Amino acid sequence: MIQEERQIKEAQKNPKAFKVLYDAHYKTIFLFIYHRVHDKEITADLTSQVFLKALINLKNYQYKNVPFSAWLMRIASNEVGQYYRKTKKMRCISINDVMIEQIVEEVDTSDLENLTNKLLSAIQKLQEDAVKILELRFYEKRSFKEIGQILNITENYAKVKTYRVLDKLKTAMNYE
Amino acid sequence: MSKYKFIKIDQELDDNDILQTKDFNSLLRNYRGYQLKILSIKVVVFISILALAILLFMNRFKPQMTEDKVIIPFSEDTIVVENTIPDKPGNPVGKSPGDKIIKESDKQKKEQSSESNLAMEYRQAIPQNGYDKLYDFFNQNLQLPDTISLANDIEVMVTCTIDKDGNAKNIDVLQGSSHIIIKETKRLVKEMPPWHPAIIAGDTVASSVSFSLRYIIK
Repeated sequence: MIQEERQIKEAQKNPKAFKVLYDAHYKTIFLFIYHRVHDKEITADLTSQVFLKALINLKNYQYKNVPFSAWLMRIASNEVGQYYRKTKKMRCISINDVMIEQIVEEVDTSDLENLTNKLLSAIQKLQEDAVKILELRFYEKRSFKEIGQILNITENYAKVKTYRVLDKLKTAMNYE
Repeated sequence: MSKYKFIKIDQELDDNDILQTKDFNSLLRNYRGYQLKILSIKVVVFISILALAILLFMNRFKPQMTEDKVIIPFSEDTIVVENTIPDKPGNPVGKSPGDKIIKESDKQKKEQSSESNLAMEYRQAIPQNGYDKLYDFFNQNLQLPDTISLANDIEVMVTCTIDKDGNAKNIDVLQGSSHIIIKETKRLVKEMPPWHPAIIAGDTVASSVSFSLRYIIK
C-alpha cells in the first residue's frame, strides 16, 4: 500500500510516472469491463477511457488506504453504465455454473436443476445496482470489503445490500 | 421482455489478447490533447473577460456631454438667450436676473431656423410708423417757451421701457444740461404714439430702448 501511495504521488506530479499504475492494473480493468460488455474492441475502448479519466482526475485523488484498483473499477463501472445508456443495448451478465450454484444455495435449498431457469428469470427483474452486487460477489468472488471499496460504501452496507438482493431473488423465485 | 443477456463464460481471454490492446503512449497523447483543449478554453475566457473589462473602463471615462454645455453655432442674426424671463416690466429683454444674452443683433431678427432648437425669434421694439414718423411727431409737438435761449445744439439720449402694449414707461433723459429740454423731452416721449413691442419666441415682451434727439438752433 505504501508503495502504491508513493506511485500515485509520483504520477500526480508527472503524468509519465502513471505508466507504473497503468501496467499494474490494465489487465484487471480490462477483464472487469469485458465481463460486462463481452466485446474485445469495445472493452479496449472503454478501458482506455477509464485510464484517461483516471489520469485527468488523478490530481484530485486522495489515497485513503483503499486500493487504487477500487477507484479504477468505480470509474470502469460508470463507463460501462454510460456505454449501455448511450447505445441502448442489452446489458450483458457473465455467469458460470459456480455462480448459479452459489446464488441458489443462498436463496433456496431445493433442487438446483429446476431452479436455474427460475433464478435467471428472477435476475431479469433486478435493477442495475443489484446486478452489480451479484456480479462482484458471486462471479468475481470479491469480499464485502472490496465490494464496499468499489461501490464507495461501507463494508457493512455492502453486506446489507447483498442480502437484500438475495431476498428479492428469493421472493421473485417463489412467485414463479 | 428481457432486460439482461446472460453469457456463460467457459474460458477467459488470453493474456496476449489483453496486452495487445495496451498503449500507454496513446493514452499520454490523449491526455496532452485534453490539457491543450482546457488551456485554449481558459485563454479564450481570459481574453473575453479582459476585453470586457477594458471596454467598461473606457466607457466609464468617456467625457459626457451635458445639455447645458452643447454649443450650437449661430449667425449674427440669431440671438441665443438662456433663461429668458419675459413679461417683467422694466426689465429689458435679456437683462432680467439670471438672463444672459450671448449675442444680439441691431438689425431686425429673422425667423427662428428650424435646424437650431436654441435659436429664438427676437424682434426689437420699434415705432409703429417708423423712426422718421416718430421724429416728425416730436417736431410737430415740441413746445418750448419763447424765452428759452440755447447757446448750442443740444443732443439728449432718451431711454425708456416699451411695455407689452407698446407704451413708454420709465422714461429717462440723459446728457441734457437744460432742465426745460429734459422736461419737454420726457413729455414728448410720454405722449408719443405707441410702439410695436419687442417679441421673443412669439411672445410680446417689455424691452428697453434708447434713442437720441438733437435740438437744433435755427
